[in-house]
Amino acid sequence: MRDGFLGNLWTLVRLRYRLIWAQARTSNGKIALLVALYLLGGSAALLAALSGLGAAIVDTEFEQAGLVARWMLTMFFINGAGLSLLFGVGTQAAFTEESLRRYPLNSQERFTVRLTIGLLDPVWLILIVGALGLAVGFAWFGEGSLITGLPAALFFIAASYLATACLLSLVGLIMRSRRGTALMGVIVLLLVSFGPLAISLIAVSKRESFWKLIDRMLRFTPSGAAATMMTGDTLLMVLGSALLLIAWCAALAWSLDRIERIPPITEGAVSGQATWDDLYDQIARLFGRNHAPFVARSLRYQLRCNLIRFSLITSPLLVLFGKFLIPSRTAKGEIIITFALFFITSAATGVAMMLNLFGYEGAGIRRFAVLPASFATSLRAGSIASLLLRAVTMLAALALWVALAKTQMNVRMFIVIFSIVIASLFLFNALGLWTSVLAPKSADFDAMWNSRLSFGANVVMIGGVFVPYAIAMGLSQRLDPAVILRFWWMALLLPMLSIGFYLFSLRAIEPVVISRREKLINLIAGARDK
Amino acid sequence: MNSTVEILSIDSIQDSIRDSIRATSGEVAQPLAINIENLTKRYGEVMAVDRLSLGVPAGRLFGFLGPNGAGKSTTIGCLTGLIDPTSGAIDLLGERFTADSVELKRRIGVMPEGLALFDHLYAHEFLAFTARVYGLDEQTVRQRVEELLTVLDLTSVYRKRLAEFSTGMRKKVAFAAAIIHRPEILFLDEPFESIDPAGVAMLKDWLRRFVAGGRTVFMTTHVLETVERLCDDVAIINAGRLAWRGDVGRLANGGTLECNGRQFNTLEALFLSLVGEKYGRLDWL
Repeated sequence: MRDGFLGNLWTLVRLRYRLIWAQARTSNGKIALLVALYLLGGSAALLAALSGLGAAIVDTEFEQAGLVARWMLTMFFINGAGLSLLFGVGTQAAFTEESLRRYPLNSQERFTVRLTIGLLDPVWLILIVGALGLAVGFAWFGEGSLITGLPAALFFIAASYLATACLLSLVGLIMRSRRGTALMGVIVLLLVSFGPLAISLIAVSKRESFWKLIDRMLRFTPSGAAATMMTGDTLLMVLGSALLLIAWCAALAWSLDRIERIPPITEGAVSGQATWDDLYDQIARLFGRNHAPFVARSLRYQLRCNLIRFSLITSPLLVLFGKFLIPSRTAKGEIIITFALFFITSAATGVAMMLNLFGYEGAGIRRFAVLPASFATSLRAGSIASLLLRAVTMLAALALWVALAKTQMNVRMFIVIFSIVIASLFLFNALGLWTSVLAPKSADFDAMWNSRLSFGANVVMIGGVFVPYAIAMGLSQRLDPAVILRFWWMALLLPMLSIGFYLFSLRAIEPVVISRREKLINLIAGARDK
Repeated sequence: MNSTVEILSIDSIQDSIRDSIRATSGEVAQPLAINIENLTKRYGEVMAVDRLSLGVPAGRLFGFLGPNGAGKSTTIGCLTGLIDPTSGAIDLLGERFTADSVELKRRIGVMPEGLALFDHLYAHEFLAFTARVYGLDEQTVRQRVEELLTVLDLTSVYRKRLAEFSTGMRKKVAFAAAIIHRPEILFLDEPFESIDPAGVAMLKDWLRRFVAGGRTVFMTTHVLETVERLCDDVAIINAGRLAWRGDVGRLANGGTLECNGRQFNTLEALFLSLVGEKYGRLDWL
């Protein structure tokens, strides 16, 4: 290290925290800050007090020989890696390699700066506090000593961080190309959407052999090695685990270095024939000359957004398998839950754009103001496109459910479900018109995670998921679905009401969007000019 | 401070400047394509445009100049419907213009600040969308889009989204979108920045032919040499107010520009005298 390097490092770390603070001063940032503080403060205290020390107690009391520690450390790692992915935190979070080149730092120093800043990010505090808490807990209860426990915790933190950095670098590498972004998005969203479902299905199956196999494999991971090092009875076990941890750290550091040397993947050929009057244009023409170009544009935009594409494709699967996520095992309860699932999925499919129709336009939103059309035309067209895409998806989901679900289907049930789907689609698209104008948020078209909705839109979305979920949970044990089916015709009122609300909103939103036009443009285009 | 005093004094005689321009250039009979009366735009305490009055006759290539933050983009925003003025009136092609003047917007073309492209469309999709909104029939849409992309050398990137275009290519697409419907007035915000010299030469040629056909161009730029060679009329604003208005064509014939009794051989010298020369000394450099 050259003289002055530590000073530079300190300056850059402070700059990183100033950037975090600057971001926190925006209105959405304040909410994020509040949540982050709550998460950090609450979780850190809870983890240190309960997870770390508590796990040590449990482990000591029940003589589980590091089992709890192994799983607890694995959870810490998943937590740290997951949050890093979710918030886009990593070695490139504050400064990319390229941006650091302007400072007087050599390549080794740049690597160190990026690793240090990444490790000092708030999301990693949970892991650090938890791992140290566990080590202290074992020493406190005589199951291990601080001499082996603290190095184990520190090596574990380093290995976890390096593993996450490798993962993030790989993700970054893949995401530099458009196809890579799509691929990565699908992988991440598959994990996010179906990970809990898979765990739920495994838990339901009660296959102990599966969990034992996983536990055996965990022993050879950094969390397993750190747990053995903290609780090991013999010197050989402790030394062996320490060597394994060091080997992990070295291998991961080497891997990170190699990954960062890989040149970015470049796009393939981009030439080709222009397509004219394609399916988008043909569908859009159904909505009249004034709206047609805008509807076609919105259809293209929505179907080119990986998050929306993924949501549209997986919604039918969520309807089919979602019942495994809701704890009701009676046949009657399942019918009520099916109703709720159709409502929830119709509300949540493609929600990111449905509730934030201008949010993905960037500087393009200015174009709507200079074109010879009312500013509200673009909003209406976006909503129509959203409604169309989600309707096709939900009708496919309904067809799939009729074909594959084991529940006995009859005409009345079909009418009730169909009414629920139509009602939910129109209701949430109507609400989307209002949230898009009154609570918009500038969003990144290519980002596959991070919150894409404003506080107001999140309230609508969460309400659309949890209110019907809570109602279904409440009714599934008490209400006989036969009663609902006997009064099936009442379900027809729901779509009539929501279609009415949608038509009213299409008209009533015009003066509101026009009065807020300039504000919307400044909010969406202001900070993202190219 | 001196420049501020000058601007205040000029503000009081804006109307007489405009009248004298019309009278001396013999263009009294020319209808005004753009007429701005006391245009004001205020953002809280900040006065972005302050009682600006300006008339641009049809068939002119009009340069609208000013230092950063002078109010150029705000003015163009008000003239194209992007920004609602706080007060004042705008007439385009003889009709009162507001942000909701849909029919009038069909007759103007705009290359706005930030270009306002839809980043996730292909270039031909974006141009076709724009042309359709302006009411062109399908055959004309296709013909013009293909022609524009060919002459702007953008056919090799049909399957590339606008977000992946270079700045110069994006600017060409925005320019094409502004002219695709043959507008009567063209508003261009910094049209030549980042475009290669061959592209700039072609665009300048298009603009000359455009105004030769009786149409009007209103453009902002920081490149004063371009304005000297290309524009007929020039207005300079500073701190939201009109600071000078004149015919720069006379420089080409060895003439000079007059401002407050002083003669200037170049537009740059005049510009610096109005906005204040910024020659800060850095002793350590």
